[in-house]
Amino acid sequence: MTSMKILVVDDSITIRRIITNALKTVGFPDTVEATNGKDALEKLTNANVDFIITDWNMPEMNGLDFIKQVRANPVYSSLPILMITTRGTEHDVIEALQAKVNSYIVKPFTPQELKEKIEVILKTVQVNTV
Amino acid sequence: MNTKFNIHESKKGESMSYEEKSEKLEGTTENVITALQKVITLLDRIKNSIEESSSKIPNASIQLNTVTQATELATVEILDVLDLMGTKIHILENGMKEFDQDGISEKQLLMLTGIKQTLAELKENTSNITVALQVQDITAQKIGAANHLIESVRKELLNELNYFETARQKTDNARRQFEVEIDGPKAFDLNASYMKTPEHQSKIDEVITAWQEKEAK
Repeated sequence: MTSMKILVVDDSITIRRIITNALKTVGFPDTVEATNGKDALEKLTNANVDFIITDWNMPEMNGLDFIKQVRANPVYSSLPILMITTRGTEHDVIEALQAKVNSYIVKPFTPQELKEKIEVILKTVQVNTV
Repeated sequence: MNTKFNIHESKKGESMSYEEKSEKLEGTTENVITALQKVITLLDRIKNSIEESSSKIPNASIQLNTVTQATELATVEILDVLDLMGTKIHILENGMKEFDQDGISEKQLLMLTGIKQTLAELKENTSNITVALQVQDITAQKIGAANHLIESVRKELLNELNYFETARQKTDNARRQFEVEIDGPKAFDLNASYMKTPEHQSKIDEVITAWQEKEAK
């Protein structure tokens, strides 16, 4: 178990539940939820978030615009971001990488996949910080 | 006047009398009027048909949204049950750890190992169910995409209705009503699919690795 707080952004209550459940089982029980990018930006200012998991297709503000806003803010620009989405073309992945997402998972995902991605991101971020 | 009608000569080449010409013109005018009446009736039918079809579309969209809401509710209920099952499995697993294995018979030890194995399998089963429930979100996105298409068709139909002056007021009302009624999810992925192969994620990982290597240079 780690004390890392993860912000889970998805407009689907089902997916938010599935992600938070999966995070709990793989050792990340501390989560905060947001229903879209706009809501997530508000949650970012109120909660001490260490990691972001976001969907792409969301109403009001989509995941890509949300990531761009996060990266544009010096306070949160280095926060690790994992995108979990149904969009799975090479073009989509490149667009997300251009927006500076750290990694990318296509739905449906398994808790194991989620755990592995988070660990790889954390390792890379640590190496880059050192 | 007579000279004017000279072009309408009979087949025999004889000039038609004024009365004959008037009669013929009258007949032609009547035919035109009848044809126009038929066209008007047809246009009226088309207008009514468009009005009827477009009025049904909001109901179809609402029905689709209801399906999404119902499946979402049911999925959350299943997730609640899975949560409870997970907690119970966790309690049982912890209980098994506490169980004093000293002095128990070989048969009891075998049973204990069997129970531990079953609990591990149950845990995996609940995890698999959770993964499978992601299909709800994927289906919701497909329904969202279908609703978007329906909405486009409806807007086109309403635009066509605007050609009918008498229907304009009705059309405006219908549009306003439509905008209020269609309140489903506007964000969706038209290509959302539940059929994800391990190769698909591997290809994505390759793209990510290539990108990161390029960025590192």
